[in-house]
Amino acid sequence: MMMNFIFLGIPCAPFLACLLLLFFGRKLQAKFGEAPVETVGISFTVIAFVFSASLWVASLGNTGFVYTLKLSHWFTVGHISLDWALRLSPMLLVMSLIITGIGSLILLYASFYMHKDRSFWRFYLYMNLFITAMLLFVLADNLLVAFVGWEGIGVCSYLLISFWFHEEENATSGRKAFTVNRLGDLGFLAGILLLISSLPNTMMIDLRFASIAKQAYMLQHQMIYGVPLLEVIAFCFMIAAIGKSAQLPLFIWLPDAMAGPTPVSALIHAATMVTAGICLIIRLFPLFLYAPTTLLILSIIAGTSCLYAALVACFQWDIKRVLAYSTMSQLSYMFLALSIGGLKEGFFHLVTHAAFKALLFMGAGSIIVSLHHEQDMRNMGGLFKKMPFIAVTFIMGTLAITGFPFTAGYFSKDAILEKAWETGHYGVWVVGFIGAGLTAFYMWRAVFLTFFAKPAKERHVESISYRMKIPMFILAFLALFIGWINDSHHLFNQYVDADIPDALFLHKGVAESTFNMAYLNIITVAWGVLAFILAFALYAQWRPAKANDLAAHTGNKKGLWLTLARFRSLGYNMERFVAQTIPYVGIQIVYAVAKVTALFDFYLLRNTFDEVANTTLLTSEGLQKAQSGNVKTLALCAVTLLCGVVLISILFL
Amino acid sequence: MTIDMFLIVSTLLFVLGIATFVTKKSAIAMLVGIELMINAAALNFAVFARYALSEAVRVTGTIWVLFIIVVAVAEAVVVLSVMIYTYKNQGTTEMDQLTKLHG
Repeated sequence: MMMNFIFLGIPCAPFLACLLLLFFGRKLQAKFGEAPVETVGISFTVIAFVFSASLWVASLGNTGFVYTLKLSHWFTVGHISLDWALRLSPMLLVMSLIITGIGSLILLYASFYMHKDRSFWRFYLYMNLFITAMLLFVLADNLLVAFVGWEGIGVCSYLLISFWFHEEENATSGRKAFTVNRLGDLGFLAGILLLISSLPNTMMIDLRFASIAKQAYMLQHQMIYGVPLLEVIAFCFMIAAIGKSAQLPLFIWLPDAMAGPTPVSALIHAATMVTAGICLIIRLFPLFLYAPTTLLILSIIAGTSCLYAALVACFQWDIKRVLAYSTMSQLSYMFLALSIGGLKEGFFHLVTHAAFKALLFMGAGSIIVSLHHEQDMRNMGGLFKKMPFIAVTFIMGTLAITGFPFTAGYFSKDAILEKAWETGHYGVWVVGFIGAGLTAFYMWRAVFLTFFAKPAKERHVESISYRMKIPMFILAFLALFIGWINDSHHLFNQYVDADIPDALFLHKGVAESTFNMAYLNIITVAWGVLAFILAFALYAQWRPAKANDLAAHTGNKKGLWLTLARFRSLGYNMERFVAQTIPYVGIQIVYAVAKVTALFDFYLLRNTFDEVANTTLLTSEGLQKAQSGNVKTLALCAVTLLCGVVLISILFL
Repeated sequence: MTIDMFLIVSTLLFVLGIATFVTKKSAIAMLVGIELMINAAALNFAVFARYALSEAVRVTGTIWVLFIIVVAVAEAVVVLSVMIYTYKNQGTTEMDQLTKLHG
């Protein structure tokens, strides 16, 4: 009973906050200022975190549990019967810990970041709504409840990105995010519908995650239009994941999503929403086991996204965009892990990434606030001495993300690369390896540009409040030490087991001896250090250029430097290019279709209609002559009539 | 001499009569056309009277021809009187210029 209350309390607490803010938020802020609003906004999520943590502590010895809580019956249509039900397993508990824990920290951080904002209450309303929806998705027992949560986080993403909607650009970014997400939702829905329609009529369909394995086993040989059914279903869900987690080609919303407030980026686009796609694939993995082609496509998409995002991030000047592309690249790592069957490694990376990416975004937000909303790194520099706390935590986040030995990122990223090597997917290893180097490069570039380069002019730095410092401190601690938890107790490795038992996997290839692994690790670390040195060489002494055009980049450089400078300039415009090319191509296609239709209309239809009209005119003119009063015409008519009668009488009578 | 030949001649006459009637401008020429048509019909009767199988039909046909001639004359008188009257009213008997029959 207590367990039920606590379990239910996890999604309900933020929802309660949401309701309270919905009805009373505006009045509270108007009358009493921000204090009550932030109290309501933060405390309920903290309560949810406390509940999650207590459940986690209670379950520490027992990592194989699955607990289902049925709230009520939803509907029954024919042989489909759905309940409102929640499900708890170690993996899902960890996810809810992340959501509520990092969520609480970010809400605390946001109380200072959004200070003096007119819509302070609305921010907390949307954030709590988001946390509720995300928890609903994570804790869902069946696919449709998960879909409710999935859609909910898409909506909240839109609401939060376009939070300052009085600027046109923010509203457009929000719409773009939501629209691209909807494309993914189409895949989700298609997957559900295909599943429902392919299962035999005799069995009761409840769309529960628990029965996915059995259903996949039943459907494994079924074909649809000549393609294995499970491949198609898996492909549909893969599209959903790609839309939500911003992989190629549905990634264009993520860089523009940085138009939203930084706490939003920290929560949604670092730790939670973008990980929903990965969570979905892990939970549906029994389906994907029978769909190797889809997994191959996923690995190709993830590999391309990883490298693309990492490359583009090397050329961004806006600090939040660097982090946005970095998120996309790190998500690709998780997808790569999933595509080779490394669920545990992918999940572990998800957890560590949530920690250090949220930290990095918070750091970026702190920098932005301190410099009075300056986001361009070219205008920053030499900030290390002025904001040492922010600098140190940011650097700790950077160490984590680049996989510096013994940080969290090191353990998780290395786990993925090791899995890739062990299972013989050397291509994945190479992509991950290159990506790691690029990650190190662009992150250290960001660090050097922001904190160590010489600024164009001295800037006044605001200090930030303890509300921002405490979350960053906690996350910095986590970013460094979460990895140890896994390494020493293998906690995370066991977490996925309850949902996806290891027995489902066929281990391919013999595990390499640890001797080889150590070599690979050293090579990866060395590569990261090389990237660090390169970034240092290029950016530590960087001076801002006068303009960002090609001439300024190339100056009087020759040969290799010219090529590099051109590439840099290209990269800067790459994203704009992509954002313009795709609509342009679409417009060209529509224009071509319109032209063909016009030709058809002009030559074929017009002539036909002209002919009909002309014929009518001629006939009427001809018939008019009968009324002309001309005697001769009358005579002619009479004769014609006579002839007609004669003909008819001869032919037919 | 088969019946066909006479019938062809009478049909030819009829068609020529139609052609004259329809084509000519002058009223009197149209009258000529009408007369041709009437006489063609009369010829038809005469032919059938000649080649009929029974005596009664032969006699009837000949009588018919006489009647047609009389009718044609009467009709021509009427037409001519109408033409005189038209000439008095309109000043012309050219069919091109008589267009008041519409409405």
